[in-house]
Amino acid sequence: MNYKLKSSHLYICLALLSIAITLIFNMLLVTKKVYFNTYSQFDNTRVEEMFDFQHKYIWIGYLLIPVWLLIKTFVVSLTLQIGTLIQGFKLKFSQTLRVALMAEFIFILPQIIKLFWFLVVQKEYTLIDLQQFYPLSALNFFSLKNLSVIFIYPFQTFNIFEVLYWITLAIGIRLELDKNVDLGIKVVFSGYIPALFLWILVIAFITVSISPLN
Amino acid sequence: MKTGMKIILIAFTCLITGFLVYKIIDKNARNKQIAQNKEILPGFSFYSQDLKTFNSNGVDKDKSLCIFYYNAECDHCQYEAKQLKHHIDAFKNVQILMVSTNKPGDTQKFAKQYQLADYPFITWVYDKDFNFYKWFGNAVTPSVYIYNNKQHLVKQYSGEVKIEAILSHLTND
Repeated sequence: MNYKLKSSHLYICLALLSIAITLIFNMLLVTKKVYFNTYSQFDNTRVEEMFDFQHKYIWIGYLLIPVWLLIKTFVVSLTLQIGTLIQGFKLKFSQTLRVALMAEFIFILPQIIKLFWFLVVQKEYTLIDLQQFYPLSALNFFSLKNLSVIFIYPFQTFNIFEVLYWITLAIGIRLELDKNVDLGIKVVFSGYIPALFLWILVIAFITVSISPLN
Repeated sequence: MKTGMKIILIAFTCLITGFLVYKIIDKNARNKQIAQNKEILPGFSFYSQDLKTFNSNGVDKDKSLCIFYYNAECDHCQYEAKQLKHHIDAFKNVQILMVSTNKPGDTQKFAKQYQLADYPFITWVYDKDFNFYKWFGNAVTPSVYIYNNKQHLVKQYSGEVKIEAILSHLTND
């Protein structure tokens, strides 16, 4: 991939790809049967109502994907700016934004694997399984029944694709700065990773404060 | 970036991290303690509709107890109330405690609207001080807590639940 691609082109491509995968995911995996599997404590008529309601407004979710991607890549770009400043260098915001957008393509892979997993391997599942499953993550080493709900997000986040994402960010920074990859790694470790760690703590804090399941 | 700025940035990050870690550990320990305490009917204290104290001593210890935590505005709670009315005969030998943070006027309207106001085995209580979580932990509306006649928690449901599921746990041992 030509890393000098325009940020706007990268963003449009990423948004369209993400929407397409979510669309396929919803069409093939989020069926009425899965709703019945998930909400067995509900009356059948209520499950039908809920399924119809959520399908009527599912398009809102598709509209939010580009917004979410924009916010996420903007924040990642900001953390890379902090990382470069700590390391004593300067990059334009548009440069770090392009690096963040390029690296974001990595997260398409787990979505495709997840789609394949539930279509081919685990054919009986609930909506909770769909939410909690993350391929090649630390969560795969634990039984969800015995795991406190506050650990689910941190264990999901620690996965092979996240590490690949760090590496891609580091390579992107190296290319933008035209320095060695060690500096790219230092930027990621001094900017992005502390911010990710804080984000995970914030999510854990919200979970422990409001979840009725812990 | 100047060394002073770096130190401030690192110190700030460490401070937020320390604060969050402390809060998470503290809240998690509290949640665990509450989960353990509610296994036996906890000593709660709410208010009746005429604002007199209603505590766990007001519960008949010989009957099963079904606690509905609800909000009059919530669609799922309204559906639950409809279903409760529909199956009300099955609850005649059970105590029902309807707990809400709704003011007495709203509770009265809700009880009348769903024709649940005149049953002697239904007690409507007011969680005026938003203390429900202290005894029953984080809860969504509706939530249902089923205690047997030995005051042991038999089952807890978070979110809407069909009445048949509740009834299957309401047996006096």
